[in-house]
Amino acid sequence: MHKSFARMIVVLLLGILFVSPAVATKIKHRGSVYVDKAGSSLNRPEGVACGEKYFIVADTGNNQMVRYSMTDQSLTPEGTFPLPKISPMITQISTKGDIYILDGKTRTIVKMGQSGQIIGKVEPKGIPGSKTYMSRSFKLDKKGNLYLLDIFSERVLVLDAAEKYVRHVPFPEGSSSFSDLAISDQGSIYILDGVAGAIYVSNPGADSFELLSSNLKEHMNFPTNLAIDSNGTLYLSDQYGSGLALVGRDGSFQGRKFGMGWEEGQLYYPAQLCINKQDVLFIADKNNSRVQVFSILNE
Amino acid sequence: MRLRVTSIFIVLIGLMLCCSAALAQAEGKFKLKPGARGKLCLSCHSAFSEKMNAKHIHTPLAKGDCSGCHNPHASNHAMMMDGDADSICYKCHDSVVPEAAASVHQMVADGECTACHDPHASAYPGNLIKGGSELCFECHQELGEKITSNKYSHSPVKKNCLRCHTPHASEKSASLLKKEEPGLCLDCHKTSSGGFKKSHRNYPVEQGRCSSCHDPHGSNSGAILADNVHEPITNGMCNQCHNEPNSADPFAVKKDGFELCQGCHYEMINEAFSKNRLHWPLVDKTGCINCHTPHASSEDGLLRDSMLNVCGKCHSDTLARQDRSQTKHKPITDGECTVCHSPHASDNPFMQKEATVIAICGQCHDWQTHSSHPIGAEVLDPRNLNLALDCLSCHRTHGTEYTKFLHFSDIQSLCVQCHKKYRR
Repeated sequence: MHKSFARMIVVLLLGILFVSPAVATKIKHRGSVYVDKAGSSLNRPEGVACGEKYFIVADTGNNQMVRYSMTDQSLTPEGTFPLPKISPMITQISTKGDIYILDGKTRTIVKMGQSGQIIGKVEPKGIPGSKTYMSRSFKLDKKGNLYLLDIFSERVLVLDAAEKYVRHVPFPEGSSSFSDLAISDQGSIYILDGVAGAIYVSNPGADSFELLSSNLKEHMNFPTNLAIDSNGTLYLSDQYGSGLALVGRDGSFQGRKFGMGWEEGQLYYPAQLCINKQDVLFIADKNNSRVQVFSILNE
Repeated sequence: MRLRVTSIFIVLIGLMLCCSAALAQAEGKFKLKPGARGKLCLSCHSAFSEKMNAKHIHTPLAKGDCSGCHNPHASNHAMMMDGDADSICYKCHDSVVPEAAASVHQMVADGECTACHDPHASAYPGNLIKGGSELCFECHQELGEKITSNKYSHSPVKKNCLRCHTPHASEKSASLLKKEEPGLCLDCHKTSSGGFKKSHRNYPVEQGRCSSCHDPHGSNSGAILADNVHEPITNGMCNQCHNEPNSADPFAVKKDGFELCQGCHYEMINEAFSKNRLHWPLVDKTGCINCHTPHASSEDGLLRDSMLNVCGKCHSDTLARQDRSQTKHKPITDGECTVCHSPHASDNPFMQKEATVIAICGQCHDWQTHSSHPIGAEVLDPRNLNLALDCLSCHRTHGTEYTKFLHFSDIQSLCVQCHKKYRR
């Protein structure tokens, strides 16, 4: 009797261990950047891209890009790259270290070298079907592949590092307000419909999207940007709700972080997010005219 | 022997059940004295007897069964009703709303049956308070005025709304329509005549949605086209956008999204494309017709619906914020989003029309230009020195849960955000 009772307890404990979430995500503020290399204030930055030891800010209101170095103790502006004819909105760093920038004015993706010189723009080759494409957002993966969120032809276009067409995944039927995408280390593509409050996923090798999470509007207002951490958790910047929302890789809502405000650790219309390999989270805190940096602690 | 005993037992039980049911029927729920139903109530509610002379009397009343709806002793509901308004009518009229109805009349959904029906008696069939469309126009006042004043009317609308609409719920159609378009229209309008085909430029419109061009409630344009007509329609140039009528897919458009509209509206689109940021729906596959209708509309600028509804289709959170707000912002209440925002493109954040928030607010709130808390580019926000103080430092234009769009519940809480020495 005692033996079977003890066995039941063990089974119960094992069950709890497997069923309960493996990790609880905590986010700790590391610091914020407010100024460029010349000491001038950032002005409504909408984009941020991150490497392991540095990050790049699309300082939208000042029409410039700013590069910062990052150590455990400091976040230091290293270089300011004025782009007077460009309205930089979203940015990414390529495997080679080049900086890709979505220009709001021309809606093209401009390429900038590490020293700030413009080296061209993305020109996809061999796209099937409609030649017109309109990148609402884009991402680069660790192999240098480029993923364009093409809202005109309702597809995610995948290009290789030479910008040649590799494949495309059509948007799911009945949903069209996609604003951002994220690529997991395994190659899954996630797209965010901020109006419907839904996330779709296309698993590696799949040629279509399937619904991962819906009814997110119950928990957030108007999510616009998406990023993914090493654990597979999706981070959504809720612009109108001035906060961050977390969604597990199974699509379950995992909670909100931060609230609206002006103090550090608070957000005011956040825009692009970036998470690097060390799970450092960068948030373009647009209406606070700064970028905030956090450590994600998966406990 | 055993079988006989069992049979007798079953028969006895059956008889007992029948007797008790009959007894309950006879005494009613309130065990009224014989002859007390109805007449007893009217002995006090004597003024009510006039109702009994009306042409149409609600069945329970006609049967003298006042306690069918009212509790003669006590009630938690007004008029001593024996249940809430939502449920009491459904006790008998449970088939009024079909399951999974495509549309339900708001009054029915809200359990406001008495908004249209007199629960006792009336001069009109169905115990309606008023006859014909007059009743509908009590609520749909604006529509009623439009129908009366229209230059070109749709005759069934003049006669009775119920020619096309069902009053409670529609099982399969939106807007309480009895049938979906075009089936509803084709019940009266024959499409085989040469005149019909000619006026529709030989396009098989009988397969389309009539209300994308025509206003079924009438209009001030000939052929009851909606008041604002897209120029190619006026000129009969459907093939400017669509394939030829005799093609395999006559309704297909020649190009997708903004590329189709750009042919004529190149100035507007070029101007939008020269700005720092676009309203993204303009350049998705649907493009301009996310917000505009390509044929005809009763709204200015060929908008698909009122501006508030068009913008609110995606920005429902903004409208919800205004709804929750204790103070309402007039441009939103008036559905004039474009007072502050540019709908196509802008060089400014949030598609604002002006470069600064102060300039936008100053369009209406001119007092702030000469007398207010210091604001402007030179006045830094103590909470975040990267920001200058402007109207949004204290207010949120679409509203907050507090008064005057303030970010905080009271003035003290707001002011001490910056004036920290006054914190309690």
